Amino acid sequence: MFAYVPGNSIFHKLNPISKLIFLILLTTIVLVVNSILFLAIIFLIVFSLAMLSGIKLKLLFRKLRYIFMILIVSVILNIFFNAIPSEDEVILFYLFGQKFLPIRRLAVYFALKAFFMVLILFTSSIIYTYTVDMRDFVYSLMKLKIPYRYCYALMVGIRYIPLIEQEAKTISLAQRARGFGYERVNTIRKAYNLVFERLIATLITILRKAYVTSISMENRCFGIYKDRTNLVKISFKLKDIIFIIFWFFVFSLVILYLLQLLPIPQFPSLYSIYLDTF
Amino acid sequence: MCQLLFKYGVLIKISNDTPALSFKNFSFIYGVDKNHKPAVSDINFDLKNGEILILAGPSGSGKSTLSYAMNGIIPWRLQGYMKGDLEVFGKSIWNYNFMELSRIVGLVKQNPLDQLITFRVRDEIAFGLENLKYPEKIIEEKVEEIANFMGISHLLDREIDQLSGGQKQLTILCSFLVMNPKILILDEPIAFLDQHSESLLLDRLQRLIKSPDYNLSLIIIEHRLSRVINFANKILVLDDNGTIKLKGSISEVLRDKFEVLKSCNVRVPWITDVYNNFRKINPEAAGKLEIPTNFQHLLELPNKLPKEELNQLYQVLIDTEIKPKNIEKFETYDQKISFDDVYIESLQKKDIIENKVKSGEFDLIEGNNTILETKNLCFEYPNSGIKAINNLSFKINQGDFIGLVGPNGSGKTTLLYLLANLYEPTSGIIFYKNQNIRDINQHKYPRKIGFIFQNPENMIFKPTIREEILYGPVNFGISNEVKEKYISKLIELIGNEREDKNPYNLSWGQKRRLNLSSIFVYNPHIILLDEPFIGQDQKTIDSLVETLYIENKRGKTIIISSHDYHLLLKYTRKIIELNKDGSLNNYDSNGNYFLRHTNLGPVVLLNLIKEKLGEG
Repeated sequence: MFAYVPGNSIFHKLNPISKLIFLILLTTIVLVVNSILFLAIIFLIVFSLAMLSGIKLKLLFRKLRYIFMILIVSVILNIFFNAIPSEDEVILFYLFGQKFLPIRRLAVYFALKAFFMVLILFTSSIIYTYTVDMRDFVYSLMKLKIPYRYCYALMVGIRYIPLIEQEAKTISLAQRARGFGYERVNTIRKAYNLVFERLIATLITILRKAYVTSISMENRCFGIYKDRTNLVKISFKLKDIIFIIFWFFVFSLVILYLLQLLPIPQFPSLYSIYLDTF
Repeated sequence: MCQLLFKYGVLIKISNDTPALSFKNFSFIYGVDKNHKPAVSDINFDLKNGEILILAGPSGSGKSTLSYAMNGIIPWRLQGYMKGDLEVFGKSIWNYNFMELSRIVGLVKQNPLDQLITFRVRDEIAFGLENLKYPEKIIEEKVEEIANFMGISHLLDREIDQLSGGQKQLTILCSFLVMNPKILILDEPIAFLDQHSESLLLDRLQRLIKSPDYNLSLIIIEHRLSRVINFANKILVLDDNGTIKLKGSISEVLRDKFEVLKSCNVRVPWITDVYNNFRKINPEAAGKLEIPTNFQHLLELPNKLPKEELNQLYQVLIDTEIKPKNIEKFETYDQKISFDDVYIESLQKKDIIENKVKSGEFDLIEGNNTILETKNLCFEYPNSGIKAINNLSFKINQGDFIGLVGPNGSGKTTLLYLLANLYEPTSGIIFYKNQNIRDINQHKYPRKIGFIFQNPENMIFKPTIREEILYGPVNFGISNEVKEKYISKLIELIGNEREDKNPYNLSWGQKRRLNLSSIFVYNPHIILLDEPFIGQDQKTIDSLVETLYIENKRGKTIIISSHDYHLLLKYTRKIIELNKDGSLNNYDSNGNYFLRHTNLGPVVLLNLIKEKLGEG
């Protein structure tokens, strides 16, 4: 779901840090906004940004399909069960008969809000990972003066992901080769064995690998000085600065608006629309 | 420029007289317990500047410990007791700090994947210099220079994931060379490489050694002496206790101490082995020849001998190399413990074995019962679109001993997984005794197959040896049928160990034997092995091959995937060769296969002698 694809879009050319700042600002906005209408508008913006960064519509839907499935289930469950019952709560209708399974207005509101929030967060994360080379990301962390040891820990971690995957796969095959895992896992004991045997065997192989890696790094004088030269340069260009300033501007506008400090009439939150119309 | 290099310590002036390394009564004990068995003890030897040393010995003999001592991991990073002293360029290691020492001594380990840190070749090579805070300009210059020298400048901007194994190992080699070490240790650098990558790396190493610009002392840790013996001057062999068993110059050892070398659990160059056997028969003729160590010597060998002696050499060559080497040893299998015998014995049906031995029923070598058959087998990894296995059709008879060869990435491992029903073929069918394996009961088919993985630790799951051996039977639901006597025999085979010992505490060779015990406990009919020889010493290989040989004599079918042609030439009876695209290149008897593949040393010599004899 999250994989870097090289490309030439505007989003690709931006600095990972400026994109990270955008991501953080967006997440904050999404978390503080109440209005579903507003969330829907943000979703449209994020969606068009995704198109702008060169993600094909089909690919985006394929990446999001499991999230969609989970979200639809969660929306249904939310509508049925999640609402704080109170006296002045409006019940839209009953699903069965006159008294059974009430659909509460607040529940619909919460369900839709969660739906949009999760969708926006996932889409924006997909844009981020789609356009950011992990290598650039690590180097830009160093640029941010984060101690390089932690950055390299992250880098080695990223390098190790395919290795760990490979080892875990081999080990699960080794279990199967000796007859384990053909049956359905139907007792806690079996589940325990399945997970722990695999986990421990994988862990031991990975620890051995990590030992070699650390020796190899130390031998190349890693960690001798407090800082190091970095050949890879992650530079801030004018468009990065414009991008960041633009999003800070948008962010502060939204915050000011939410605090009702702007001389614009308040956007009716969908909740308030509910309260008024139904 | 030179001044600049001196300023940044790239060039260090060293007089030629002081030895690069000098071990003086060096011993090391890991951990905090002084009474523990030392990993290495009483090591005394000198290495002159510019010399190339082969460091050999069985696994666990302390080769790695010595390499850690040389580059400062011991004493700065590992806990333990050190006795004696180690001098690097005339200065005790205690007078260096860790940084200085690790700059002077570089260490390349065996698996390239474990050592790569960054994502691009250029970053990887620059990594060390960046840590040393060199100015960017100098780093760039030096990276370009070393990449040009080692012939990988076209790879500099590539992603590391796109490189072949040999190129990865070269990148790591460069990343050490760029720091201008005085001593470089290569810890089995070719163990994980296929033939192509191996010759690439060795070729570049030779270029490095011949160049006058890099005045390096090289220490190569390797079991397969033939690969590296041509460019080394000295050899040091350790034994199981971590003491020196043999040391000296290569030519001296090959001439006078060859038998000792052979007994040291290292894999001696086959050509020297042939020569040595020839010398035993005809010392006079052999005395006239120089000791052959490499391919060039091999080509000259037939020209120097008259016809009669050539005939003798031919016979020696056939006996030592072409025929399975240890066949006489294995012929005495009646006295050897066979898993199969023990299994039947444990069922208290001893007369069955005796009858079987008498009637020769065990010798199913040329049996014609097809045990496995594939038809148009194809396999594609999900979402990759590339066929790993491409339209394979072949038959395997019961009692076959088959070698599976092919370049890295040709699908050898995938094919073994398919045969073991661990993967589901994309199309095509595999038959086990004329029955589609997908139709066989899911519990029954795995019992017929014993799968040995490349890394012994990948198939250890339980906290005690006993539980580990019973892992298969418990899963198959047959643990009640396994007799106590059989289990104790299986534990005996691992060595003199308690049954409640943790398998992870066993030695590497013992872990391998535990793997064997834990599959033989359910008496499989087919044994599949995935690269079992990688990084193993001669002793482990011998005991593994011996076990397989005995089981094969008892009618078990064995398939080994390996890129070690030399071992396959000696031990297998048939060869399946895969192409790079996963299709079948060749399926033939061992003899025919190797006679057609004329680039393999023994076969070249055989053909040369034949030609020469034909002329006469």
